[in-house]
Amino acid sequence: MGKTTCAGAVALTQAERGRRVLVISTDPAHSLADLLEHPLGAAARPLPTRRGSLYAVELDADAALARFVRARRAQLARILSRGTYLDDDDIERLLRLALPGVDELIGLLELTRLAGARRYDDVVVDTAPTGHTLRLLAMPATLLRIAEVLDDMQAKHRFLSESLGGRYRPDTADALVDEIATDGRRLGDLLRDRARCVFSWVLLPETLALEETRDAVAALTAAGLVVDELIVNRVTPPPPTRCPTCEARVRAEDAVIGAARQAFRDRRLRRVPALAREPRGLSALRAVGRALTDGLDVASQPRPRRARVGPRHVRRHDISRPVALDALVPPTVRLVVLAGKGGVGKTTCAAALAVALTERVPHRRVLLLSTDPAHSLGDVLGMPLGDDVRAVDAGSGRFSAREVDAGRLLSARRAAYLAAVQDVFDALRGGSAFDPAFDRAVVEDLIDLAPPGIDELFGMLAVIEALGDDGPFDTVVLDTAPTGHALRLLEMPEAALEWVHAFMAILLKYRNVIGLGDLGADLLELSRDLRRLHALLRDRERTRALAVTRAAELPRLETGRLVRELRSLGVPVGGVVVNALTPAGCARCQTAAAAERRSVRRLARDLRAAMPAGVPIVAAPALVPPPRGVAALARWRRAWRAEPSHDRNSATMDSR
Amino acid sequence: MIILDTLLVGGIKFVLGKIVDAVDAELNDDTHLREELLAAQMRLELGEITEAEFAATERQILDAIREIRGRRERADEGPGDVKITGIEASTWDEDGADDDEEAGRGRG
Repeated sequence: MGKTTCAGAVALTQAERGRRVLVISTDPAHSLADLLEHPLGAAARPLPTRRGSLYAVELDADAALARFVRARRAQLARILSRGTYLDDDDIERLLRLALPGVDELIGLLELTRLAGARRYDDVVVDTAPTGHTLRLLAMPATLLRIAEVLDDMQAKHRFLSESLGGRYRPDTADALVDEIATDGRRLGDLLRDRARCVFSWVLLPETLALEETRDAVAALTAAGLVVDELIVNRVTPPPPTRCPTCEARVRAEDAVIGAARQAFRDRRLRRVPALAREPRGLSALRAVGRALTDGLDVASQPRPRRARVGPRHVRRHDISRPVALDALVPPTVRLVVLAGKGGVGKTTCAAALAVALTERVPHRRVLLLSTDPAHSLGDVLGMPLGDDVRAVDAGSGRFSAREVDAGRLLSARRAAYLAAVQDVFDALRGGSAFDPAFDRAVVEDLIDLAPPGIDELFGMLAVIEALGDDGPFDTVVLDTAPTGHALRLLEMPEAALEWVHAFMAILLKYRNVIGLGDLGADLLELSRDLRRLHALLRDRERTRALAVTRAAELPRLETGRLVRELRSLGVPVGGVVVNALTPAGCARCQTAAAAERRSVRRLARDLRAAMPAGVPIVAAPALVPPPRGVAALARWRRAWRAEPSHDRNSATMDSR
Repeated sequence: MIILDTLLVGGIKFVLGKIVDAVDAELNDDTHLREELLAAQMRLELGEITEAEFAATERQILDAIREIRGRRERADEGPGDVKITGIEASTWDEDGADDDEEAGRGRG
């Protein structure tokens, strides 16, 4: 919804006031380089500014994690070997494993490293989408917990050294524990210090976005973080001439902005008008920067004259064909994955597809599953949802819906594993009089630690649960977190499998001491499930990933990358839905629609190389107000059209 | 010396006790067989053994489990036909602990 654009604009404005500014993107699906039209990397690069200096970075979490571990490998290995029964081989194996979903944690560590490397006056952080930003902000606490776990591992060594040698001298391993704890504390303090840290929340003037903002601001406040201002981006200015579409949109947006002002009385609210051209490059960002500075919402904008109009459908695609559901989701498909940037309408598309699939075969059991920690499925369906599976009435049949709550699931698992671990320790103690109190503390800490990537992990487990051997569902429609984290989710089965195998190997090695027990059986089952899921995700018969995007340049570039990534992961891509196309209207609408058409044509050209022939590009109309509830979603889905230009191309490719 | 003796005797007692338990388990308890089966399944999953090796192990274990089941059923009907009457062990240390110090325990 324009976080990156706003971050870039703020950074540039600050820099050109004569300051030294660093702008960092921590979203694993970066678009900062696209916005700045400047190649970027994991090291800060200078950008040409008129005054001051501006540096930009796109974090590479995997590389940063590898670097972090490499630099501290010896100390980590020492702590692990002192604090556990693992030998050098086991420890080597564990330290080599990948940690998907660690972006937030590493992002935060990198942030301090980069910000400290040169003396910057300001550091502007473009964060990941909502749900994962909330996780990011919980990371200082996670760092402290990690430090505690490592410290507990050291405790036994310290105790033994003191008992045998009389005096304990802290070494580099202790220094590492200190370093991590200090980083965690310092970051936590920084985030809560209003003099040094300012939060700006960017949202589109849409009901869903406002609901998400309410939830997020409440969560941030509960965590002791203060959101200072709201930036309402892409606000439709009054139309140049009478235009039912624009007027309906302005009215709907006014209502949202009014509600936002009500809900966040004590916070600044800025509005940035929708620009005629999508801002890209430094000079366009200057204009956004000015709009941001001028956009303080002092007086409301002049209201357009009221006109009675209902929701409008697109008329431009009358020549094109409606999209057959079977072309997007063939009847054999059991898993439909919706992926795309934040704010493009993934959730609305997912809900519309769940409704359509239920209409197609009413007795098929369809589950609509949301794994984005910032859920909006309930808002789209117009009913309260939760982590339990709830029935949704869809006219001719019903389907089920669930919003995965990773936090709750984690605490449930914790309780179960804590009991299992207690058993292992009781077995370990056996006839010996040694109380392994230190070891017990280590394992309890480990279980207590909320690992990064839990949203992806539990999202994946929810799919296994729904589609497993005698799982309760025939088809799952998966609404994912925005791009970067959706890819993490799809990579998760493979990474998790490596972890599970590592644990299995270790358990087998020490089975004579601790036995295999329930843990062994659990790991075995998990390993089989993960392999099945891995195969399902790559099965052309049973899986389709659909990319959702908008007809603009930044989303287009990201969609191209997303489709290529999906293909390289081996996940079958079933099509691209270009959402929110401007319907016919005033001159301004025509200009916008023409720009969208150009963007869709470019997208089709980009994708021709990346996607197999015949994969549809779908145009979905913008509705004002957006479709909410089952009936509106079904109507909207029927208004989807196959993009004729891509169709022609694929037809020629087919005929060859 | 007394401490050393106690340690030695205690140690031998402990080890022999374990052996008795192990033999008993081997003959009358299928929990460890189930664990063996789980271990084999885990090894197969990890690719450490082949399908054929796993099938052979599985057959052996299942046979053993069936045997134990049968023995248990017979034991319920009448007196068992297997009984550990004792275990003989001798130590290298002639002056040390008595090697017949509770070297065996009867088991039915």
